[in-house]
Amino acid sequence: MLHHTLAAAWEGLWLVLAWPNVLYPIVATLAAMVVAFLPGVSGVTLMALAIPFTLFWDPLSVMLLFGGLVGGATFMGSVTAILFNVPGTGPSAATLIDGHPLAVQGQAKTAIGCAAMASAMGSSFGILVLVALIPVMSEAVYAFGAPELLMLLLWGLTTIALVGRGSISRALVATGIGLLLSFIGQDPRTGEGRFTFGSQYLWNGLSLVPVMLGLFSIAEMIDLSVSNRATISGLSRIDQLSGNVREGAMTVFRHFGLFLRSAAIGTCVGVVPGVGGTVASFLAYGHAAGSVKNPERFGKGDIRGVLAPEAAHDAKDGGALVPVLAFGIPGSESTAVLLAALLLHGIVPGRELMTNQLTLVFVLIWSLFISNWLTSIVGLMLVTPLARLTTVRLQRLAPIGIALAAAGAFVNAQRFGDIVVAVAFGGVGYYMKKHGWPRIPMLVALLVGSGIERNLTIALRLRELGRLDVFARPLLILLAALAALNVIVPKLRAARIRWKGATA
Amino acid sequence: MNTLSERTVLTTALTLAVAGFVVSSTTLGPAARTAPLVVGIPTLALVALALRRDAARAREPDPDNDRQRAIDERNLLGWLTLLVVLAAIAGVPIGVPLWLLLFLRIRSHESWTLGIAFSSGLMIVLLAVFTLLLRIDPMSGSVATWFS
Repeated sequence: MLHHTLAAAWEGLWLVLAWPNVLYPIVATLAAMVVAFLPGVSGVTLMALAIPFTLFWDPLSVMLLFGGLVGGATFMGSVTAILFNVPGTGPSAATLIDGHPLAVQGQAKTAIGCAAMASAMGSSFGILVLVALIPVMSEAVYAFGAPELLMLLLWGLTTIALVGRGSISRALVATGIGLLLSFIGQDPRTGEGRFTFGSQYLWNGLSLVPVMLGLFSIAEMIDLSVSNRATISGLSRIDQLSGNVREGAMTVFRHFGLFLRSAAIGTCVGVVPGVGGTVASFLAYGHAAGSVKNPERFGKGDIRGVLAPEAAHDAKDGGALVPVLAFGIPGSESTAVLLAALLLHGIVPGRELMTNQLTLVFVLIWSLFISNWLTSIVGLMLVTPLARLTTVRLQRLAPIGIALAAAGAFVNAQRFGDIVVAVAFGGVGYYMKKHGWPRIPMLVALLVGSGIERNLTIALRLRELGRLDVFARPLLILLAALAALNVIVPKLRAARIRWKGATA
Repeated sequence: MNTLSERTVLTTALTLAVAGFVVSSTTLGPAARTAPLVVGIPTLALVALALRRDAARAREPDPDNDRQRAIDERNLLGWLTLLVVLAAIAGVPIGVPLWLLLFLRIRSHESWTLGIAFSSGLMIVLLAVFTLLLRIDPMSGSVATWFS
């Protein structure tokens, strides 16, 4: 098996590097990078748009192209998170916690440099693990049933509530509101309309894109517009910006242990279907904040708070390919579209693909590898012009950002209601930010809410049928304990501090 | 309205929203209401506690009260409303760039040259996206199409 795997890997590499095959991942990566920088139009949108245009392509070309598209979009979402406090994708929301404060301090170049290097190396780590896992994929995926998936998602949500800035109870409320918003629309089991109030628009539920654009993009632009600052960084010239790309990139090597642990978290979470990069990023951030020395600067511009989620976010890509290639189970939005593309081109995931067409699998893997490194290299080349955006007058930048967000909200699904939703959440998001209510837990909960409900329903049904023996599922107990500790430990710490203060 | 009472208004709005979800859930069938109630009831309890804290603090003097910022915020919310109205009337590819031009000129006090440059650039990009990429009517979203 090992010999077969290595031979397929070698053959796949030569196929990818051959001319003109190598053009596919390069062009796909550059296109995905441009698109991912625009609010409301993500790399996933580009992947979906690419499907009908590639219907008559051969499987090799399809794998080359989609490997590039999967890898190309992620980094630019982190760039907007760092520069504008606007997460380009859900996983980038973890990067902005420390990335944007660094930009505000004039250290945008350092933050982007770190994100680029962590991203490229994280994806390489994930790909290495993917290759190592190919012979043993089934055990890893089958270990997670509905109860375990539910607990993993809850653990992820509580970690997000814990690591955000501000009060934990407010973060939990924001999480609850996000989950309630995710329930709007048709009940997936009975088809009954929930919280639609007779509106045709709400029948399909709230779309994530306009909510994200509103809560972050428009809300941030409102905040910037009414603030007393002249520019994002408070500086007016690019030469006034401190920070250094090389210094940011070398952060990964200075904190190599943290990088390895974060990449491992991302890969492990990526393997689990239906969880996605957002949870991976926040789990890694939470681990970093809880495990390093001198964590006081986390949330205020600690470079390690950029390194950890970026490494996890890109390592997740390799792990996420495990269930989709082995079983046809997508682990995220991008892998769901990838699966659709594979099936439409007659490439069926499963045993046949993993044995007799293993070379094709490695073409996808190598294409993803090249795409991730190319994204980071091009991203580093663009650091100075991108960082320049933090010196542009806010009264010029803010309306452009709002206009792009509104247009992006409409382009997403061509529904006028999306613009109304984006603007409404823009106002809500601004006041939430102003009064210390966290927005990230709300957004993430909206993203994973349907997965939580689905797994909760199955778990309850299993319990009704008497087929849920909690004590026979050690993984479930472990995940439940981790989720509970996330809520209990901070309360105990706070109580201990109050007790020490009272007795001092 | 000072900052602390504004915070109380926000928390009240969030409390009412969550309460609305919980009450509305009780009208659903058993399968459909399980998850909303499991999530909604504890959320309502937590937000009610937050409201009690904020309401108590609202009676304290507020050192951060900034009237000019409050005026600025209301002004900006008015501009956002105008954005929605212009997009509804003139369609996204024209309404949004028109809004951008008006904002840059009137609120940001930028020059006509810069305003026209940015708004026409945005219009060209949006028209290209609508007609070439998405292949939809560029006037989608326009109130005018309701009468065509």
